[in-house]
Amino acid sequence: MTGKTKLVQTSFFIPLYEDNDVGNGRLHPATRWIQFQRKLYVNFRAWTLAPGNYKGSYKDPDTGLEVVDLSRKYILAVPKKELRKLKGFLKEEGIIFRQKYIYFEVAGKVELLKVNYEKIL
Amino acid sequence: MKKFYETLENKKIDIKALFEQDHEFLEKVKKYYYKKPDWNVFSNYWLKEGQKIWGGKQKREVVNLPVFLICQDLEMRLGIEQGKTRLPDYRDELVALIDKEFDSHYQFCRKAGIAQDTLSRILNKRREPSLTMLRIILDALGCKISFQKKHRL
Repeated sequence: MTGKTKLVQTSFFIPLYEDNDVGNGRLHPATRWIQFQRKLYVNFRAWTLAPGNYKGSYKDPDTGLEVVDLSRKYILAVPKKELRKLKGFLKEEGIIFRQKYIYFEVAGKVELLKVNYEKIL
Repeated sequence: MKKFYETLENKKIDIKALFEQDHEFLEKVKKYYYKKPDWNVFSNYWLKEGQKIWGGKQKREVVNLPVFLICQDLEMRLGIEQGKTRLPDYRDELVALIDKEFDSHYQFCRKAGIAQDTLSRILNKRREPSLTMLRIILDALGCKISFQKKHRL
């Protein structure tokens, strides 16, 4: 044991716009980002944002349709044992952004995290 | 020099009460802000610089520091200017209140005695609520209408 915590680099994308099905397709108000980043800090201390926006697309497993969005890319190094906590956090917090899925990457592996949005409907 | 910094969320922060170290930090951050960098790049900048002065503090304490709040606010102002986010409107405040106070929109609508479809139309900007409807919604949230000055970015 070296006593050092092994960190893994993760990244996730938060779209700039609400999902058209779950939300209204509008840009998020600034207050949402403020709230999200405060919670992110409290849970994981810091974040890094990739410059610019990321245009991405994925196939919505519910509708089978291609969803194209423009996102902020957050990069976060977390202890391996906190990966589950981070994923859980994003599934919950994705609600305030009115998303169905959050695109999540860890060590080159991509996951679409299903947001618990049904509970607010 | 202004005595207060007013955030987009209408919080007034007493700048004069800040420590000298915080003043210096804010001056540095503001100087960078006026160069109008990309809001993501600005976010990285203030957070990295901020860690140098608040790194040892508790996380919950940090997010309530006046300088943290001001930095976040400046980031959002850049985001608004760059068309990446927007000023919140009354609909956003309603959504945030409903999410905070109720487990679901269904539960809220039951309490307010309104149809879920009505709420959905209002929140999704497909319908403007009448004053009576707005009062019904606000009553169920335990809120009332008040006025505040518009923001100037």
